Amino acid sequence: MSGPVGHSGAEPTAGVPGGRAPFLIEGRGLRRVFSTGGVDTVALASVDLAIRPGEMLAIIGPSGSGKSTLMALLGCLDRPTGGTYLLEGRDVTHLSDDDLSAVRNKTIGFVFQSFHLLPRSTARENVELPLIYAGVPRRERRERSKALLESVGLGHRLDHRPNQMSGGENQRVAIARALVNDPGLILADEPTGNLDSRSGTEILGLFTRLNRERGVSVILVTHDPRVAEQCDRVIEIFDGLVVRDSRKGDAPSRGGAA
Amino acid sequence: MNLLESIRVAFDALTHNKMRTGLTMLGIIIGVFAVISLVSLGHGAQAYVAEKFASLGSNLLLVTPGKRETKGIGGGPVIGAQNAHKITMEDSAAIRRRLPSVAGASPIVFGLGLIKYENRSRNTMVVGTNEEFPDVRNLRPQIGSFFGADDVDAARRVVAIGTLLQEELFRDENPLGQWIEVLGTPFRVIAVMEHRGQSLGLDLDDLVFIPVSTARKLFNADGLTEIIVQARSEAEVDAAVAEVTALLKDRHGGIEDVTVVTQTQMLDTLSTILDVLTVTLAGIAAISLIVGGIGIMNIMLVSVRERTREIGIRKAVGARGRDILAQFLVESVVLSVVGGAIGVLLAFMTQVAASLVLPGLPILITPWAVLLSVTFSAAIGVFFGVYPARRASRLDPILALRTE
Repeated sequence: MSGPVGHSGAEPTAGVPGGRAPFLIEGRGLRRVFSTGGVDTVALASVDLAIRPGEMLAIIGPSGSGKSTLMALLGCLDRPTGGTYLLEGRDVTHLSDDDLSAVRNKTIGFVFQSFHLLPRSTARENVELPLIYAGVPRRERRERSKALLESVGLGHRLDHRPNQMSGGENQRVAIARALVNDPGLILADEPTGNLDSRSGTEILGLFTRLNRERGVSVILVTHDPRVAEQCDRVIEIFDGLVVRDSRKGDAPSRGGAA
Repeated sequence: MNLLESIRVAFDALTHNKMRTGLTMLGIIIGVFAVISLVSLGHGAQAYVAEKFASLGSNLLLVTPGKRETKGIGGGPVIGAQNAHKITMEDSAAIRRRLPSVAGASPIVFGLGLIKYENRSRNTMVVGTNEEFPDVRNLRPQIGSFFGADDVDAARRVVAIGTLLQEELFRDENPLGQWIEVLGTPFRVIAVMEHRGQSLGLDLDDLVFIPVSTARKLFNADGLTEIIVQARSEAEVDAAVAEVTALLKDRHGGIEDVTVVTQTQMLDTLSTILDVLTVTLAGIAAISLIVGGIGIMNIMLVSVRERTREIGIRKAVGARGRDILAQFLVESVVLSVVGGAIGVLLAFMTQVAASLVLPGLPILITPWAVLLSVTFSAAIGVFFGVYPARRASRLDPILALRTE
């Protein structure tokens, strides 16, 4: 289970045995209202969404459009006020906090704009973090983190701390961490936002490679059109609603086919 | 996350900010140090008292006038017992003559008086007693000889003095045969008692002994302060108590108006007092432990706030509430237990050092004090760590991630 990026994409996406669930993500009427001091703010009005395993798509929209809220819902960091959310065919709408933690641990890998690595931990320790909460024994953790860091080209940075590495390297550590539990879905929130264009291109290339070679679904939340161009599908959010859902070329390009 | 992992993470976090960790621990270190040191001091005092009592021999009884419900130590009649029957020379003589389990009895009259020799003087305690006193109290003359029965019968003005008085009044002179004034009356020095030092707050070297008959005249006392009775053996102490009580009741017209206290009872009473003292001291020291615990809570709250983003990251990658709770709880427990261990070590080292400087200092490290304070400090870590840890575990991951 070392699962480096170069691994063949023959493995089916976890939790989708024999097409029982045709969709990786299925959201019906997702709604999220924030109440502060008696004032209700509608962040997501009603979003219907279906994403197949193996898709690489971008969610775009201006700030305040609700895309961050949608990303939090899709990432099981938050629960919708209304509607239903099925992840890998399982209704996760009303799961408890602890169950959501387990879902995030096993099925979702996060990549954030500002990397969100533990500053005092080495690259390797950062990559091992999800494995600790998955209860993986220390030796196996060491092996898997090393293999993954090597596969993202950081074999020489195992014991470096975030402040000893460049932004691009930090983001690659974050991607290795996102992949370490072999999740079916990578959720990336502005992953190139804090990077120079060269590093940004590299990171995007890495996502594309992961998607093509491992069949892992990638959702990029961005407002950068160049990032969106890399994706097979672009969903545009505005005022808490999906206003455009477009596919490139013979879409859905690789949906569920991997 | 298992416990070992949590402990490793806790040590990691604690070593990162050494200054803060050290200062927080200091509160616990001082608390534990104070508890152990004070409890040990109390126990040392108890051991010291017990040892002193043992050196007196454990077959002594003390008869004092007045009936007291609570057993106590000390000589004089308590307030409110003034109307009670006096105990007399005849009582003492009867105890001595008639009771089979009694080996000796010394009537005692205490008084304070100015002792004068030439131009030197000293205020000290005057003990009027009889010829049996050296045997009963196991206190013998170093030079000369104690007064005899004839001196008591004739109420002679002879005196045996303690070593301190000998030094103070006579310096290098031989005191035997010299005349000293006790409350203005001349007495001939016939003995110097052996050096005994402090015993239960009374300096045995700072006493003068005169015949009890002489003392009664001198102090104008018709009764006795007390009678010290010596049982034949330790086994016969209880029999002696019963016999003395019955005899004196009979002699005092059927009223039980004296108190007979055994040495064991006196020791018990003292022990009880010292116990209370020890517990009180430990209680006061425990307050500093609680203050130390509040320090831990304070620092943990700051730490949770500072590491909000870390908590967010951990939750995002799959940490459950209880993982975060455990992480912070372990951190505060490690803080308090390590602090407690250092406190124990420090208390131990201090006592070793103290015993090197002052040999024979009655301090004992008591295992229960060590156990109690370490357990207590761990409990403090848990108690004061729960609230910050709960706060950490309940953080909303999205908000936590957004925190800079």
